[in-house]
Amino acid sequence: MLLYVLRRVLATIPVILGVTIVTFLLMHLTAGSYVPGLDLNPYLRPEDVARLRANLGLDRPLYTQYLEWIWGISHGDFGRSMQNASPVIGLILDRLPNTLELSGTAMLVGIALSIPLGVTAALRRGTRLDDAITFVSVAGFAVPQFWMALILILIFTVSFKAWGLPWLPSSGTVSALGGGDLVDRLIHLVMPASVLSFVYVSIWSRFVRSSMLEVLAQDYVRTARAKGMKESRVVYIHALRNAVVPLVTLVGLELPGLISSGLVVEVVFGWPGIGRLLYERALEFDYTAVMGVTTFATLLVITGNLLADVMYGVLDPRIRKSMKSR
Amino acid sequence: MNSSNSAGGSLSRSLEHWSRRDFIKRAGGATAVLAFTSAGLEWLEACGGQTSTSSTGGTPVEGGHVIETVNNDVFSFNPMLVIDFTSQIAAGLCFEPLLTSIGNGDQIPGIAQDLPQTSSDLLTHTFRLRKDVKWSDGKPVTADDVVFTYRLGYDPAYKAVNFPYRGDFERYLANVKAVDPYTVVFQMKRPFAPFITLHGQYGILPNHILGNLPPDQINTADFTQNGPNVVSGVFKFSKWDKGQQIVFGRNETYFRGKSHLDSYVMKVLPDSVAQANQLRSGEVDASAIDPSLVDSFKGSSSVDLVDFPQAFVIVNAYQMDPSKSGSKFFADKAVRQALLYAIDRQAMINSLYFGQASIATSIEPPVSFAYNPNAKPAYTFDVAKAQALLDGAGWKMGASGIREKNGVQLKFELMSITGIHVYESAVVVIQEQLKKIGVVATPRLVSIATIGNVVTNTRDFDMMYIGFLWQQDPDASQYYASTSSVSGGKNFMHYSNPQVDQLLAQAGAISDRTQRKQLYFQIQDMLQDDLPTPPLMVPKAVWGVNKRVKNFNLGTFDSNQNEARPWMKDVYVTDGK
Repeated sequence: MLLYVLRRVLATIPVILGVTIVTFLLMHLTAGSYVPGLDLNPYLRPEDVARLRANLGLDRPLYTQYLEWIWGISHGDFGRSMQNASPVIGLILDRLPNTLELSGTAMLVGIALSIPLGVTAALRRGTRLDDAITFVSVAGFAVPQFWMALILILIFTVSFKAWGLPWLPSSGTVSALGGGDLVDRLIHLVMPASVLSFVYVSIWSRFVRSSMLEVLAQDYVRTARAKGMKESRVVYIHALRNAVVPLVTLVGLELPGLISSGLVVEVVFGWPGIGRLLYERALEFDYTAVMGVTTFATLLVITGNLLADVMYGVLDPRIRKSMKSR
Repeated sequence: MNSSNSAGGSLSRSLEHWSRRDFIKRAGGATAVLAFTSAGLEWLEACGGQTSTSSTGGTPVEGGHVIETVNNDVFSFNPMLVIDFTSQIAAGLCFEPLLTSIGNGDQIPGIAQDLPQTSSDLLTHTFRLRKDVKWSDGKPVTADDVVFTYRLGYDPAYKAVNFPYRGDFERYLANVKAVDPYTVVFQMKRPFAPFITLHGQYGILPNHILGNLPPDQINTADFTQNGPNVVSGVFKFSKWDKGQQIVFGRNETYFRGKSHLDSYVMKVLPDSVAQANQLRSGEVDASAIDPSLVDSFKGSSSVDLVDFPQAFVIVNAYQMDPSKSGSKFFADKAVRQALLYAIDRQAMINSLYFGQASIATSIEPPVSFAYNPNAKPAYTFDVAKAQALLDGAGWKMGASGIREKNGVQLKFELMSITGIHVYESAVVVIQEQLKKIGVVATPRLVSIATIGNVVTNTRDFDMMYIGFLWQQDPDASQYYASTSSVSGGKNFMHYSNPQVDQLLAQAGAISDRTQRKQLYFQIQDMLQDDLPTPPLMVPKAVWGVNKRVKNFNLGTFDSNQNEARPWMKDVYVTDGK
């Protein structure tokens, strides 16, 4: 198992190289020699533009710029933002807790809701309840997040406030003035986390439902029932454990989603997370920041996949065994 | 690396469609290019001009706060490093400049007692400083602080500092020296009338805090990147939730008189719909409003609408360089004029700018003191006249419905920037309108990076739909002097008129406003007749301000280039909250 993990870790090196080279080249193709438009400022002289670019190291050959950057990364240095020379790792660490707070909550809520919903739908297959759950999950999948976010804001912020009801703040993680305590944070979290978890619930509950249906049709479940085991024990202990294996993969694969899936929600709710950081800096062609975040996200994807694989082993002895034999 | 870099920041917003739109809208429907610079873009957003105030007067109530939305987080608090709009506001609230300006671009004294005394040869400018200006740590603001601040811009020892306009400083400024603690003299290398207008407005930095830092650390100092510990402006930096909000508290020792407000908040909200929603819900008190959303605020019981023109003129730039193929059409003045007559600008304003723009009648923005409202000739939407001019120039309607002359069809590319919704639509509208007079303008949308390269280097274009950004000073030589057509200059049209050159030089070398105004009137008439860049429209900035906020006197040039908002201390909220 250890060997397996080690091999997987080594295999990430070419992945990281590939991702960073592609990001680097794409940023250069779109932005030219960074700060597109800098040379359009009528109040900057040509020598100003040249000097600023030189200060940023952009006058050097492309490969030098990349090699220097990747050398830094290999030493744990994510470089400095093109924007204002602040350390990229600082930017990431500033935003990471917020993203983890939002996505983590949304995922937990997603798991907590999708399992009972999926199981219920599977057990009541074909009933109105099943149809209702299906409807909700299709809706969650089909409704664009930004639209849903705006509607929630219109209802729970704008309208509630107009009606004199207690209302929910529509942006940020804490109030600007006062606030900052747990309650304040939770109030700010409600709407963005709801929007985000809605998507998780709708996807995951479908998976739980179908894999539950599959498992319930297996021989060992019939055996368990035949020997007179209590239904709840059959469903929740025997069947569910096998039924959630695919969910574990999904959740593992969703770990990078901790960063990316929150993007739209983070933008609409003014949530200062990693997704928004990436988005804003990409729009600004701040390529060191973009590459820093991308590399960070790549590491997360790899870690997520690895964790999911290891979790498989924990959940399923057969897989554990095959890992050992490898 | 700073400011300059935030350049991109501004133009940014263009990648994802909806948000791209947001950006533009926020910029008042405009945006574009020459403005699309690092600096530029962001200026647009806020800078607008002229009048526009929230309601004023009444008896001020003490206490409370105001929250204003901004599109992006602050990048830097150092007035010598900022370029983006957000950082400009932040720096402007914290640091008082020598001179500052009011909404219409007129300069008023900041920490200077009065406007500078300028020698008749324009080679020395003498500033006498107020003696009652203090840093928030109690130390006086003196000539040493001014000298230090400007040294960052021209002293070779500070070359590593990313001050963006060093080129101007090195070209014009010989030195800045303190004659006594409250007198500063600017020695110029050569006369340049706009210098003080363009460069007199950087917030003055505390020498006793930053003076001992090595030059490269000025760019990255905590003071710059994490909030200053000492200020001279109306507010003190108090809290920064990164990516979320920057909170300022009242500076009790502000020399103009302390603010009525306890605190001021800049809230980072990248999405324009979210901004409008928060304005509506009262979560924020002031915000620029996307032109498409303006109607929804009309008749609002809680929000006042405030609008002002931006110092930004959208033009169609023509290729006039004889060595380029586009000039075979546009070297002829009749063609240049005909194509302006053929464009229904009011229709474009209504459909593309949601009415939030006005027809441009001169290359100077209406807010400028030198703006000539009656620049001749005036152009109306007149298809018949356009046809007649083209006919007269020998471009006769061909069999295929396309005009031609000597076997050449009147057919060219209309270049603009991709990713900016209003530009993308505008070139199509122009294409349709020109088609009606037998002219084929094929839109060609390119990235901002490509536009930058075309404007400064290759000049490979026929006609370009683009925006020209203006500062307070009406000097137009950066766009229209023939010397600016060198590589890197902004006269990419290759326009050359010796008379205009001479008048521009003359107007740049005198300081008397009345005389300058007369010269710029002549220049505008000539440009309106020559028409190297037919002015199309001037977008407006529209802001919403909660009715509880009084005296919020935002105008075109507020916050333009680090200016403090001198009216900020008068802002109060009626409920004291």
